[in-house]
Amino acid sequence: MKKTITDQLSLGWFWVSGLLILVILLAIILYLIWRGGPFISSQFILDSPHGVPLGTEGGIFPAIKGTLWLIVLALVISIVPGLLTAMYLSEYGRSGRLAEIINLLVQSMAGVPSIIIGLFVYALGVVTLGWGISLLAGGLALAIMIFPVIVISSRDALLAVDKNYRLVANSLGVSKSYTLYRVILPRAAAGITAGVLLSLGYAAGATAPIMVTAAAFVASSSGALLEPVMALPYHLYILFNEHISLNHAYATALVLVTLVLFLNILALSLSSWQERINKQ
Amino acid sequence: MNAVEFIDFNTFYGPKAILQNINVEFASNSITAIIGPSGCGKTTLLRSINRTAEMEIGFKSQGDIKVLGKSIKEYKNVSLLRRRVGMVYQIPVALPLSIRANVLFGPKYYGVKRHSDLEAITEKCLRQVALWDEVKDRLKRPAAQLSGGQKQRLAIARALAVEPQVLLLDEPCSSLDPASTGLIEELLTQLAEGLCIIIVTHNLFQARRISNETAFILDGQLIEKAPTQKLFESPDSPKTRGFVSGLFG
Amino acid sequence: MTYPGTELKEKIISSIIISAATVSSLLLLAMLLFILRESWPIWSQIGVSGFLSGSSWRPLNTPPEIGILSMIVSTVWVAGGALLIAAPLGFGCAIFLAEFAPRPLAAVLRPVINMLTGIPSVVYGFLGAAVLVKFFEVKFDLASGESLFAASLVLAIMVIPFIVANSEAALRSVAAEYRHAGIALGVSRQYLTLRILVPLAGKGMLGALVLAFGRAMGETMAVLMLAGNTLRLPGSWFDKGEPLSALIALELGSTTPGSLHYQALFAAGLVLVLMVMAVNLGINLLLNRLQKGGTLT
Repeated sequence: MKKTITDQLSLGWFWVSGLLILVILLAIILYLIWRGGPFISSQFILDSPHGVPLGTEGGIFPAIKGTLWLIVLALVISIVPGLLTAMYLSEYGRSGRLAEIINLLVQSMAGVPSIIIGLFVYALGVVTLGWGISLLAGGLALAIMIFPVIVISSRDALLAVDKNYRLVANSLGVSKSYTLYRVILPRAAAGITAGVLLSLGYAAGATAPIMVTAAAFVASSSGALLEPVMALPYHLYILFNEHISLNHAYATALVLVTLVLFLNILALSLSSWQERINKQ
Repeated sequence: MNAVEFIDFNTFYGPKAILQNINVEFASNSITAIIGPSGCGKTTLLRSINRTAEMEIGFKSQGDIKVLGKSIKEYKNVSLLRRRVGMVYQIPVALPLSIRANVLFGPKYYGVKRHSDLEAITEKCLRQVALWDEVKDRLKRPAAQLSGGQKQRLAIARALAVEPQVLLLDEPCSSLDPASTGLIEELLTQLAEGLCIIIVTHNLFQARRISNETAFILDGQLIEKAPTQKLFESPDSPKTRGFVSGLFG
Repeated sequence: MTYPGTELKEKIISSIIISAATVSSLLLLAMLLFILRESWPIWSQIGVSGFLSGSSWRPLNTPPEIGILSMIVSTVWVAGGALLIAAPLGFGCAIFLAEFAPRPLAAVLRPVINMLTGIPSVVYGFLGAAVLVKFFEVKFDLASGESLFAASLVLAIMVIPFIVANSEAALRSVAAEYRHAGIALGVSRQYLTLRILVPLAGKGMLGALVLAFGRAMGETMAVLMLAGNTLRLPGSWFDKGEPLSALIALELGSTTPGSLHYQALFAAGLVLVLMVMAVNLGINLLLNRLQKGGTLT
């Protein structure tokens, strides 16, 4: 085969773009470790912010706690409607008109910018319902944000389950819900869990929606629903933007990225496990 | 009494007619084989009986089918119809449960709760399909570990566990080796006591070996239904003769 | 032979499932209506065209000047610029993964791309501001290095994974077709890929690009930290600007509910979400029309 200049150039283009992406991720992670790593200590993880201005010393414990509260609350609010909608789309609606519309709505919801969800919850929860800037409002905003993610990933996990199981169950005359509960859901459990973990990672890193609904730079993050909370991404934003402490910003970013990537890697390994199950 | 009776039955997928004007009866306590070239409507006929054909988009039907004397449309509850009409598919499907749970999948739904009853059903159905001795020590193990032939017998046991009066089989042996095929043919002959068995098969030898009657379908029409020996040896229709002598193959 | 309860139970369960699915997906419409309601005075008093084409944003002045043209321009400029940078890299990487990457490398690269999507946008924004902007300031001796360009650059990194994943899927779905067509001709694999595979997958790849555009328009934190946040109409890629998302995030907390300023932010939000949805829906319709044969799901 003759190698022309264009061939060489295009091959170079493919390799460079592939490798560049690898390099970018490695650079991000290594740089965060290099800059933030030295400031991570048990005190940084387990202490509250101190110093003048606040945040120059001490740690980020309330922010870690607040982020965990937020994602747990988001999960609690969104998991049941999310799973039910996914079950509707995969088992009950199938090819009907309503399912088509719901699919379209969920798909569109997935595309709605997170700041818009923040705007909506601000008007509804913070102002109209009088919750104020609060854990509850932030949890609701994140729940709305991850709802379509949960629906889409669970729906796909359910649809990936062998069609023959449904055929067999149908021919025995048992109901859809019985089949779902006994066969389909257990079979898709790993894939569904993977989707949920992924959505939690997404919620943990989201800043815009909680910035307008839930976050405060200083709060105890006790878990009280109507109190503002601290959150890792917002804390990072303020540390940097208000020029409080660049070092602590790097360390906070490292903690946040570690948390999110941990959830992602867990999700990734669960979903490859699910793929193996589906191939059996 | 006839277990299954087709009356002027027609089906369509969208504008396309599949089955045309089918009038046929299937007796209890006997095995009827349905033969015919691929795509002639054999499977549609089978799936019309337990109303699983209508789950396909665009499926429509005219006319009626009576199961145990009652029109399939009069079954308020499809689940009751499907409980009376068991079905076994071409690909052996083991539900991702234990062997025991596969057999008990239907009975548990229909409200059998007592442990002793469940044990009894498991043993009886597995014995009926000659699987009991092979699996009695590993009932709690995943059914996925069984061989293809064993899975197909498990599928029959699972269908029998809800005590159907009609058993439909859609080419149940086409993915199995000769030994497993032999086993299944043997147990079908035994099961015909008290059951109406309708089996779609590509294998003319199999139809001859196990069925009491054979029906030949071509292009959605029932050409001929007769006692098996007669249909194979002196069919009325030249089309049937052509098919059984291998012309349509 | 009746089974008391099972049928009724199934009816109850299925109606719960259907109503849950319907209600929760209607939330989207509720959101849009609510935002429309909150912003209503803007549309009735200032009017759609006045609001969209006004280039001055002084909501606290008397009389207030409320126009979001500069923000719309910033949004489109930042997102478009991001695609300009991301497209060649994203497509290159997708082709690399689908056709040229050695197996072990592809096995590393795919999860890495997945992880890039996982990194929160505030972290991208922070690194962009702390490293990239600083670099521009030192290198070009600027007072401040923030610009639409800096925001585009970081957004590009953020949307590349989406472009790669969706384009690779499109490429894979046509790969079999093209192998049949081309393998016997004796030309190079690069030539085949670019001349046969890419045109076949073109619609899917275009879809990937447009989806990335929608995502980039809605991004908030990275642009907030990088675009410079000035309310003037940007004249070039290297000017500062303030995209819609950043405007909302920055100003919402300081408004008085019910004031014109508050309502104007909701109007800006409505414009942003409609822009994003129009892009997403538009590409869906386009792809559905083009792909009746159905290679892209």
